[in-house]
Parts: sequence; C-alpha cells; structure tokens
Amino acid sequence: MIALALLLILQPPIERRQALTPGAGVKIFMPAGRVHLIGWDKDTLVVRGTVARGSTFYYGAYRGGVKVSVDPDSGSATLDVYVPRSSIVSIKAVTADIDATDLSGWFYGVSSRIHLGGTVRNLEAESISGDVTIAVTAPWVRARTGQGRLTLGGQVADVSATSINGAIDVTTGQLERARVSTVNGNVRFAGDPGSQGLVDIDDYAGQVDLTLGAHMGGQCDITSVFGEIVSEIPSVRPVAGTSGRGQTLALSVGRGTAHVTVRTFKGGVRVRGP
Amino acid sequence: MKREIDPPYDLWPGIRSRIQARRRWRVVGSVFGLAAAAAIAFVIVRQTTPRASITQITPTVVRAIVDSADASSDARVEQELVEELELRRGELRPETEAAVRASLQTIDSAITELRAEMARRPNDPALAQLLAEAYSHKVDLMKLLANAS
Repeated sequence: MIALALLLILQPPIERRQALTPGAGVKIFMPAGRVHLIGWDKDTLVVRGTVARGSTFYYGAYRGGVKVSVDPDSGSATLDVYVPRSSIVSIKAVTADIDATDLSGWFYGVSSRIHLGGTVRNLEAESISGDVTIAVTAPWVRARTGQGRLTLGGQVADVSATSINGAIDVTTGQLERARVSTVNGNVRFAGDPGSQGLVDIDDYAGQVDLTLGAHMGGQCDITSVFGEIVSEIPSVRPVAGTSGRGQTLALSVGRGTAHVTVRTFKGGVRVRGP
Repeated sequence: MKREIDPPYDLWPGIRSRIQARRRWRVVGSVFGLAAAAAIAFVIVRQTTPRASITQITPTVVRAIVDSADASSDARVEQELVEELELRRGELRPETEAAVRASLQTIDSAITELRAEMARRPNDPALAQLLAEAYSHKVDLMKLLANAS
C-alpha cells in the first residue's frame, strides 16, 4: 500500500550523467524538497532522484557545465547529485534543504537549512530564515543569515559570518582573519586565531560569549557601550568606559600578535580562558 | 609406621596451578603499577606544563574601519530595499517578506539608536564601527533579497 501510494505521489526515478571539464559550472535551482550534493574524484556528474508529481525536471548539460532545475517555483524533488570536486556549484533553493560535501561554490536558500562539510576551496552560503551549518577545511568562507542560526566549525583561514537576528556560533580553528557581525543575534566565539590571527566581533544587542583559543597568543580588546562585561578569568576585570557608561576590558595572553576585538552596543560580553 | 611413602601418582597439576596463581598476581600487580605510574606522570606533566599567562593591560584604541560613504549611501540603500520589496511582493512568500521586513526594522532601530549615541560621543571608535556594521547589514539584506526570487 505504501509503495502504491508512493508511486502515485512520485514520478519515476530520474538519472542523468555528464562528463565535465575541470572547473565546470554546476547550476541548480530547486524550490522545495531535499538536495544532497557529493563531491567526488570522477569527472562525471550524476544526478539521481525523484521529482514530485506536478513538478517538472529540467536538465541541460555539456562538458563545460550543467544546469538542473525543478519547476515551477513550488516544485519539489529529492535529488542526490555527484559532482566532480573541481566544479563550481551554484545552487539556489526556496525551502529545499541543502546538504553538500567537498564542494566549492555558492549555496543559497530562502528558508532552507544548509549543511556544508568536507574540504573545499571556497564557500559562500546564505539563507534568509534558515539555519546554516558549515564544518569545512577551506581558505575562505562567507556565510550570511537573516533570522537563521549560523554555525561555523572546521579549519578556515578567512571567515566572514554575519546575521541580523540569528545566533552565530564559531568554533573554527587556524583562523587568520575572522569577521563576526550581527545586529541582534547572540554570538558564541570559541575559534582559535593562533599567534597571528585577527578577529573582529561586532554585536549591536546580542550577548557575546568569548572563549580564548587554546593556542592564542596576543591581545584581546572588549568594549561594550552600555552592556556589562563579565570576566571568568580571575586575573582580569572590566573597567568602566571612558564616558562613565559601559565597560571595557583589555588583556594579553601568551606570546604573539593575534588580536581579538569585541564591540557591543547594549549586549553583554562574557569572556573565559582557554 | 611406614618408613617410605610413595609420592602421589601425578604431582604436576598441583605445581602448575600454584605457578599459574603466582603468575596471575604478577600480571595484576604489573598492570596496577603501570597505571599508577601513568597517573602520577600525567599529574606531574599537567602541573609543570606552562599555561599561557593572561594579564590585564591598558585598552588600546579600538580599531575602527569606517567608510564615510556608508552614512550617505544608507538612505539610497534603504530606498532600494523598500522598492525591491514592493516590486517582489507578488513573488515572495508572505513569510519571506515578513522576515525581510522584520530584519529591516531591526537594522533601522539599531541605526537610529547608534546615530543618537554618536551625536553625544562623535569620537567613539566602537560606536563608529558598530554604525558602519549596521549599514553593511542593510546592504547584505538587500543582496539576500535580490537572490530570493
């Protein structure tokens, strides 16, 4: 009965293949459903999956690139896409969940949940109201959400993580440069800038929870215009701001030139040692 | 009383069980000894490894990366965002439009408060940086919206 029901709901499975030149573009538009992208060492792209009844699957391919689209704008599908690692992916979704491993490119969803992992060259991920989770090894990553939660881990040299109301959680290691910025979201930063990295955390009204990296050597400056700074490190205590309002705290840890700067307007900051 | 007693028929099982019992105690003893040594070594290493010292210092001037063009372009960005929202009203899902409008309101109220405080403390670099970030969030929101259709 279940199989019969599924046959009524789903169209027959699809499968397409295309050999690609290195660096080929892979463009996907997928309004709803789920898409799982897997980077592999073969030179061929393979798309497998099912498209919901009422939705249409479009596929165009040549050696230099592939375009996959599910129409109309409310169309839904469940796709597994195997992509040569050297390709550049560009995927746009509305509500479809995106899961990708070992693939570089641009990942966008309106309210999609985006989950990216593996080893990549570069990544850009955006969602207006969905959660974005990234745990990759990469030279640089740009991630942006509106309301969704943004979680960044792995090993990334250059990170930019921004949100408007969404919480931001950064545990990335081997940071050389990190920009974490949000208007109202809470920030938990436990990334490690080592002895040379630069980290800027700006939060207008959210709470910032800062854990100094285990390998950090350098300086940390914290300023809150109206908020309270709480130090869980016994040797350092916040002082009143120069204007008599807010608080500041500056500390030096180990040896190095790393610099972590935290600024908040009315959100509090909690700092703890490694 | 007999002057001689015949030895038991087979002495070996008894001898073997005594030897094996001794060996078992030796193995157990060695394992406990090694574990105790490892625990002592771990405690000593942990206590003697220098942890990075954390000391309080005088705050340096907070770095501010402020683009003076940000403030002047904010009104234009705001206008473009509102126009884009109106233009896409039919295309966007209601919840998406609501999320964008809520985000815009959040940014605008932050900008209003930051500007008011900047008027009182015009040379505060942290405020200047936070204001620049707020402008930049509005530009980001416009980019997010542009990709939404």
